[in-house]
Amino acid sequence: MKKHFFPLIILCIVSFAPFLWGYGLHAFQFMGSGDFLSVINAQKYFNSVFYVFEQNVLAGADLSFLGGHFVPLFVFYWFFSLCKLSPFIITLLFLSFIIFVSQISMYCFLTYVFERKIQFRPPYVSVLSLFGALLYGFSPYIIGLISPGHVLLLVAYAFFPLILKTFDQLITDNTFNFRYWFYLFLLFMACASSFANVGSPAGIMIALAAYSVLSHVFAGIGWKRLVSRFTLTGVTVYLSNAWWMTPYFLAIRKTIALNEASGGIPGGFGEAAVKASVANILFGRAEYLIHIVAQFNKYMNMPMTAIFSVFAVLFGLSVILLRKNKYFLLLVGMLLFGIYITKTDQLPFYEPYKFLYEHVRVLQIFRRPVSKFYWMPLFFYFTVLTVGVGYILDILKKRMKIVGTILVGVMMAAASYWVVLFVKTPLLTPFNIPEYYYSSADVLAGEHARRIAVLPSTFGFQPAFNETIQNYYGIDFLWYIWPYSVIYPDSSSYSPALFFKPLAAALLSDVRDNTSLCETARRLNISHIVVRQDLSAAAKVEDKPEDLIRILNAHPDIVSRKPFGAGGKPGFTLFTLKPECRSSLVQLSGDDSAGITYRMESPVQIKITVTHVSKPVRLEYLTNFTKLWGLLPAKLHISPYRYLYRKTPFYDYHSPVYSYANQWELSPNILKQNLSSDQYTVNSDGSVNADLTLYYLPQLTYYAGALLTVSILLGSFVYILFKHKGKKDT
Amino acid sequence: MKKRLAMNPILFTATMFCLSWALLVIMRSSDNDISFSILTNRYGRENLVSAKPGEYMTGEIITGEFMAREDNLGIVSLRLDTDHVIDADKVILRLKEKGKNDWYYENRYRITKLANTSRFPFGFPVIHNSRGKIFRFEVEIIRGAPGNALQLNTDYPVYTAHYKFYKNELMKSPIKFAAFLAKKVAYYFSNPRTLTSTFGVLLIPLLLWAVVRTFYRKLRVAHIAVFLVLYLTVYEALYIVKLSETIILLITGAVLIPFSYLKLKSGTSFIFAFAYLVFMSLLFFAGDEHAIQAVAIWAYAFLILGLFQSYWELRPKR
Repeated sequence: MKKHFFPLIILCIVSFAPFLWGYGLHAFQFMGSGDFLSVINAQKYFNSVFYVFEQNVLAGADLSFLGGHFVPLFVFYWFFSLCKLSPFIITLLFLSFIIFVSQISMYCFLTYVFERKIQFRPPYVSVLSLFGALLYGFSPYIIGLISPGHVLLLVAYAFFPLILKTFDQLITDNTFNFRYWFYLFLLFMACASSFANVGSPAGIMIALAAYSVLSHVFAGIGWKRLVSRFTLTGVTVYLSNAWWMTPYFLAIRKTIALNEASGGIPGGFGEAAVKASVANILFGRAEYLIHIVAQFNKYMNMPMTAIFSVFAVLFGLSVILLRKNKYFLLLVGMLLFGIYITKTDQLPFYEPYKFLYEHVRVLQIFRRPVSKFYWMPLFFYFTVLTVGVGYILDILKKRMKIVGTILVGVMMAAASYWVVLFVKTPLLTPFNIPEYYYSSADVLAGEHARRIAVLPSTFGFQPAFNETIQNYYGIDFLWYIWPYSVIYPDSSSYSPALFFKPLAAALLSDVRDNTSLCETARRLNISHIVVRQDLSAAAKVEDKPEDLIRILNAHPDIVSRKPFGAGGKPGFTLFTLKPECRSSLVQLSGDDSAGITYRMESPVQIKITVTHVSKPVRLEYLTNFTKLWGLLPAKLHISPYRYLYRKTPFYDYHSPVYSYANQWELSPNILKQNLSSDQYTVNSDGSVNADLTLYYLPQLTYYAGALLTVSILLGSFVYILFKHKGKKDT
Repeated sequence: MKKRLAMNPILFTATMFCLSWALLVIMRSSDNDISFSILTNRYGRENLVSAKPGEYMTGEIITGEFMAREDNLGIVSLRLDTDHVIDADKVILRLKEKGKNDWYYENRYRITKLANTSRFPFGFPVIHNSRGKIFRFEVEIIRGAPGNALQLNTDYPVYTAHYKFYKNELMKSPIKFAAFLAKKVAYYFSNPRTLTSTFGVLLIPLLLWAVVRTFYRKLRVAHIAVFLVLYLTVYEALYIVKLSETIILLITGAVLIPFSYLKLKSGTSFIFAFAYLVFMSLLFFAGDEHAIQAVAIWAYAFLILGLFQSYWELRPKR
């Protein structure tokens, strides 16, 4: 342990490198870029993590995958929020945490390899492991993923060396060791935030599958053991994430409508990995953003590429020297497999992969394989390189010890240079949200806002803001600030093709054509329209904001307009629709004498009372249509879980309305047929009253999944504790 | 009789050389063919009416004019550089007969990422009586911003026109078919770049073979074969613009024959892989991006070969 103390201290210190990005920027509150944003409203985030449906996103959407963000992302933000740290600082801490875990994890894996897996004992094992850990912690994969905001994918990347080490122990031991299985359970649980992107666990399982096959080929481990323990590992991925994976997989086909851009690969197989050639993978520049984003020019500079050139030569030399070491060959095999799966359509031998990619639909979840798999070749490249350098040092220690020492010095200098380059390449943008976004929330509350249409359309891409107001381009923060549903009318969209979109596009057309907005607004449950004027001049917009404002200023359906801005610069203009254009989230239509009241208990549960239903009416619920919403009696006689595999009452009367929302046909007869006599009352005039509940059924699987994960976690913990105690006693 | 059949070695070598050259030219050119039944005409920079170097911003237009040499014009392919395009974008193609006011065809196309050497094919309804007419086309960039814009690659051919030939018509008339074949072959042999590169591919090893044979007469054919294959990979890396999957498979397959004949082990493959990796690193300092990519492919191929050999050598013997 003593020999690891100094390297671990170094790894701990360099993990705080992201803080040097933020030097002198503490006045900012948030950080973000692309798909990543500091948690702005912890309470709202908390709700979204614990409910699988979110009313306030895009006219209602299933966000069960956000449940995966609970560990470690939410726990991290929640804990440090209690310490009164700003989201800006917590984000830097989170990045430091990822780097720290990556390094420690790699360090542990390398020491394991040196001590258990190879048949030679090189000098400077701790220094070599430190070298490998630094490379892994500051690798181009980390650099390439932070800028587009795919930060959460890095959680699985960080834990992967430990996962592989534990998996290797699990398959190598002749007898099944429960402890290793439990470690895997914990590690997979820790990766939940990453696994919310389903390509991440799939990528890890593919890597472990390849490792199993090569373990059979080079280490001679029997098929039976490999297949059983690999299958168990796959099941463990599910069990450790059952709380969000169960509702996610239940709802995925019914709720997530992908369009050309958000499903598959825009541009097809050929565009999946434009720059992921073999050479670029070995030179650490396979991510195409590294080639086109200006800030990476400093990163991918001459010395950096020269370092990679040296690595390539050392790698080639290692392969020659260690060509008879079976475990080393296994690692080389994994590296070659990693390159193959990352490079997609790049030469050579891509045809079989192309065939599989185009015909096995599940492979398309990777969309751009380079962003899901590039960690694999890099991880095995650094491992092979470290082991190879270890062997070269082992040879040199007998004759030319001084040359070996110089080699170690050069390698450490190279790794240190990586850290310096990382510090010099700030990858997230610090920013503050202008005050007018908050003050407008108060105005909206005062006007009892329902749903808000945000214009102009940005083609489904994230907004890029005017640099004089804030220098931010990334995921929109409106959802965190306004407690109302925000919709974007993107005709051609990078976001999923949810059902409300054609109607939202029709609203935009109504504005452009200066025709009545009322009918479309009522159907969409819109109460306000916001026209953003604080976007960057370079942002892609379908309409100029000033054109939309000019039309809306004189529009007869608008009753008031309020401009917001900061420092004399326009921020956005808030238009209020006249009361006649408004509708209710839950409403009855078809009979004015029937009454309805509703109360939203949670995003997944709405209590409804219908009264005086005397003839056929439609109960309209204006969120994106899905049959997973069940209309249940308020007083249930059976367990709601039964409705997961049998039809809910009123199931056959549930259909889409306005081409996107939900409606249930109700009449006195339908109510009587679908409810038992104590679940409704009949008035003296023959009309019917009933207390009903609208419930989003996948939420039940969330609870069941959470129970499963927690009970396995506690059960295993208790089992290990007792076993340990038993061992101690004997 | 025997004497009559015996061939002059120089004549034999020259014949084989020419045949191999022709075969290589056809192989290389057919790689760029859209389809066998389509004839292509190439056009250089001088056939562009308006074009500029660098990035194309919103609203800018590339214009070209050409005389159709065949009927059934159906595609115009333009060499666009998409390297600096962050996301797929759209352009508008307009095509009309010169002198006419109305555009014959106008459509939006989604430009996806292309390899630098590829041309983007703009397809339109086939113009059946196109032969002899002068056509003008415009490609308008819908969106382009500094750092996120299309560029025009002015390497020859900048654009090409493609004509469809119908299989059933060709089969009906042997004369038409012969004429089509003649035009196809003429097209294959009309690209100076292909002609020179393939000529070099064959000529250089021939000369090297002659030199080595002069000084060292005990070389086995298999040694030469290994040398030749390796030579081809390096030559291809340095001089051939487009490496195809077919070429890689052919060369990798060709390597296996002398390897198995000479009983070369995994160490040899790994040494070759090492040599390619060293070469790749040196090429980086020379700044030859194309060669770096090509050499890395060969390093990868030899690493895979070596790994398979290692498995074979280390497998438990029964």
